[in-house]
This record gives sequence, C-alpha cells and structure tokens, in this order.
Amino acid sequence: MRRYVVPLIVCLALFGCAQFTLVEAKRQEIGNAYSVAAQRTWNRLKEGNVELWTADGPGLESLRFYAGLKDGERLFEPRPGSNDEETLPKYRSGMTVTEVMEFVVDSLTRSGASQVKGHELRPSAFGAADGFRFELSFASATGLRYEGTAIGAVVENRLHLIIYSGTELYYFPKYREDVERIFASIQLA
Amino acid sequence: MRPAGRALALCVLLLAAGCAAQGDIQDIAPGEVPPLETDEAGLWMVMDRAEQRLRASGRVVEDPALKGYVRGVVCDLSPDYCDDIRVYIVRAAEFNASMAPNGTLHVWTGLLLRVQNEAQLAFVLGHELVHYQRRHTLKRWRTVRNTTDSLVFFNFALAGAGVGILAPLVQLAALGGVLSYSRDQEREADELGFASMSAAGYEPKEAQKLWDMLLAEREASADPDRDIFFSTHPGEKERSESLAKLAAEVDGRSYQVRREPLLAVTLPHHDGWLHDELQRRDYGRFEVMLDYLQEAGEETGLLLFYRGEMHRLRGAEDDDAKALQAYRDAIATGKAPPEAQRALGLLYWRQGRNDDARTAFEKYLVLDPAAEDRAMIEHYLRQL
Repeated sequence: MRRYVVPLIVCLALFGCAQFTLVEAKRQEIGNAYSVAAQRTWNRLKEGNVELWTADGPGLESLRFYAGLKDGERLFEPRPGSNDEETLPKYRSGMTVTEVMEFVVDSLTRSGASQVKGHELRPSAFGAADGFRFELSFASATGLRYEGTAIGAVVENRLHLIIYSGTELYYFPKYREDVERIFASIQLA
Repeated sequence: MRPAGRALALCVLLLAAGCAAQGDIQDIAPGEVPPLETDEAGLWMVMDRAEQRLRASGRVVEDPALKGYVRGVVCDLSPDYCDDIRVYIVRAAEFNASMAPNGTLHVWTGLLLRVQNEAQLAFVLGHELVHYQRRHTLKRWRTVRNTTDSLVFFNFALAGAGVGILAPLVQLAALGGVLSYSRDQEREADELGFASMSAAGYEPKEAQKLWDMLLAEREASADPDRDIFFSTHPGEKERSESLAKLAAEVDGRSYQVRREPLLAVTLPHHDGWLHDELQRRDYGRFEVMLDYLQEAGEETGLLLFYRGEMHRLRGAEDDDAKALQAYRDAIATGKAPPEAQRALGLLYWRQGRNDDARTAFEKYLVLDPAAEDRAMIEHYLRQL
C-alpha cells in the first residue's frame, strides 16, 4: 500500500487543486468583455483575474486571457511571504501602449522569469478596437527558453490582453497557428 | 532522486564521512582535491551539482572580456590558486558575490555595476578567496554538525533569503556556505582580503568606501531586510569601522584604484544592468545607487535617462516633472540613448503637449531608424 502513497500525493498535487475544465472547439466568452473562437479543444484554468488555456500543460505552453484589467490590478497574484505586494507592477489607466508592453515585461521578470524581452511592438486590431501586438522572449528560473506573442487593447481605460507563450523548441510553434486564428477571431462584447 | 531527497542523502553521507574527519583544519593547498571518503568531498559534490544548475540557468554572462578581466584580478590577488578558481559572472541585480568550497566563484552583475574601481572589486574578491583558502565552509559545517542538529546547516543553506525572484540563485550561493559563515570568519575574510588587496597595490581606503556606499543604499531601501548581501554578511557598522582602522594602519606608499580597466569591460553592459536594477522597483535604493554612479562621473547621459525612467515608473507627486527634467538633461549631454526621446514624447503626449510630443517621437525615429517599435511610434504620430 505504501508504494502508492507518493504517486497518490503527486496526483492530488497535480490535479486536486488545479481545476481544469474542457474548452470546446466553439466560440468562448472571456469575462463578459470579449469572445474568441476556439478551433480545437483546450484545458481551461481560472486563477484570480486570468483565464488560462493549455493543450499540453501550462509549463509547456499556455494562453493567458485578461479581460478588462482595471487601474491597480496586476498580471500575477503576489506570492505569500514575498515583497510582491510592493514590487509587482500594477496596471495604471492612462498607460501608453509602450508602457503596457513594459508592464508585461516587468511583471514576467518580477514573477521569476529571466532575460525577458518585449519587441516588435506594433498596431493591431483587437476585434473592432484599435489595439497592439508584440513579441516576447524569456527564460524560466532553470534556464528553459520560451517565446511568446501578445495582443491587446485599452478600451475605456481597461486593458484586454491575451498572451500566448511556450517553450521555444517545439511547443510555442506547435500551437502558433491555432493561436493566430484565436487572435483573428476576437469579438468585443 | 528529487532535490530534497538528494540533499538528505548527501547530508547522511556527510555525517557518516565526517565522523572520521575531526581535528585541525589546514588551509587548502593549491591544486588540492579532497579524498573521496571525506566529508569535504561530499560538500564538493553538492557544490558541483549546484555549479551544473547554475550553468543551465541561463543567467551566466558569457562575455570573454568581462570574465577574463575578473579572472585576471583573482589571479593577481592569489596567483597560486588561479587554476583552482572558476569564475561565473551571474546576471542578477543586487550586490552579491559568493565562493563555494569547490572553487566556484559567483560574481553578480549588480556588484560589477556598483564597484567604482578595480580596488573595490579586489577587496570583495580577496574577501571571497579567503573563504576558499581557509576552508570556511568545511569549518562551519563541522562546527554546526558537532554542536547542533546538522540538518539545520542544509535547511539554512537551502532556505534562501525569502522567496523572491532570485531565490534559486540565492540557494546556489547559499550552497557555497555563504549564508552560514560566522562573524569570526567574516572578520577573518575582511582582514586577510584587505591584506591581499593592499599587498597587490590597491588603495586600501576603497574597501570602506564601498562598504559605506552599500550601507547608504540599504538605508534608502524600501525593503532593507530582504537585502541578500547583508543577510549573508552581518555586523555592518562594526565592519565599516574596522575597515577604516585597517586602512589607517597601512604604510604610506602610493596605491592605485585602477578605474579605467574595470570600466572598459563593464560599461558596455551598464544599460542592461541598470534596467535590471530598475525592474526591482526599489526606488529609494535605485536613486542612491544612481547618485553614487553619477558622482563617479561616467556616462551621465545614460544615468540621467535612468533617473527619468525611475521617476516615470514611480509616478508619485512631482515625478512626471522630475522625469521630464531628467530626460531633457540626459538629451542635453548628447549621450542619452534614443529611448530618452521616446520617453520624452510619451510624457509630453500625456500632458497634452502634442507638438512637443511629435518633435520628440520624430527625433527618436531619426536617432534609431531601425527601432523595433517604429510602426507603433508612426501610429502615435498619426494620432497626434
């Protein structure tokens, strides 16, 4: 019996707390702010103000959806016992798009990623809104390289943002086309 | 085996091996490697694994000129041990250096940004080399093992200083035993490091200057208790005084500080390292650091630009006006990065000064025609 204890604990740790639900291949509402059309199935996890979708696991690739981030809100939850409360960047209404990219880059850095770079900031439609796109590259604490791409828009002082990231080798390119179709399908509520 | 399991197994191994290894501990000899059956070999094994993790972490700066320079200072200070020390430049904001018993020397980029000359760097490196030569980690390990629950040593070493973003790096440094050096060992490292620095001809007064600068930064910090360097190097006031006393005792011959050789290899990195420091968002500390760097008199354009960035990000009362002034001053030096014009444009735009914003954005695109965000800036210009 004892030999099953450790695997059982691991299973509980992996699946017991994280409540993933199925995202069906159809149009999905994101926080009553906008919707996107999923062309394939994903696994959904809701954490605080972010809705996360992943196909193979969040450490390999993920889509993070933020719907209408308000003044003072963050991309990541402060970790207990850390100084995140003071140092994790907050969204400020009135930020320019250049500052929004900086906000994303600094948030990733403060959450533990290293060598975070945002680049190729450019205008892009976010559904019917005048939005922006930029690319990301960073490494995990253990040195694993990731790439990312983000799309967003500020609508009535609230930030809509979708960040797709995955390991540079294999997983980021694997779902890139699916993600581009999701970006192209955005409809504001 | 999982990391916790490995640490526990190694701890048991070290305990068992340690029973046969009591008595006085001599300084490590150049080229010496501990015999496999000893507790010291066990310590080295832990450090070797930590070194592998560091290499894979993506935080090692691979700049042959910079690494070669730091290694050169190490070898000048301690020629006999030159071949035993492996230098790693670690990309991490904050002032820190650590020495592992297997000869791994970590020098953080936050340290290389702050030291103002080779004499200051030599003091820190000399101090760290003493920990290696005097086998401080092994001594500490045996003392702890003999006096208390030996797991404390590893728990302490593995705990890191809080759970900040640098925790993995802090743990690597901590594995070197640095978190657990005693005050006596730190005092010895100061005294012998100081002696080796002045014997090599470096200005002894620079040691206290560096220490006082770090104290000033700490006092201005919003979160002084999370200071990695001070959490591993206790007795700050006492050390400043003892360094002043040591400097007063040296003979009157002429010493050198050697600023230019250091700047030749560090200046190309300052932009990125300043950005790393700013991302910590500890604005009080950042401002004191800028004051010291500016006082030293190099690259005022870049430093003024980062002063502007600090005010813009802090966003407190008057910060917009201060940021604007700093960007203007930076640009007036003729040596500000092109981003100073972009930052100026964004501030003007926010203030409704559209004509000034337009001029600044246009200058940015002239200064950096291949700017990655060119399409966005052109979009801003169409909106103005």
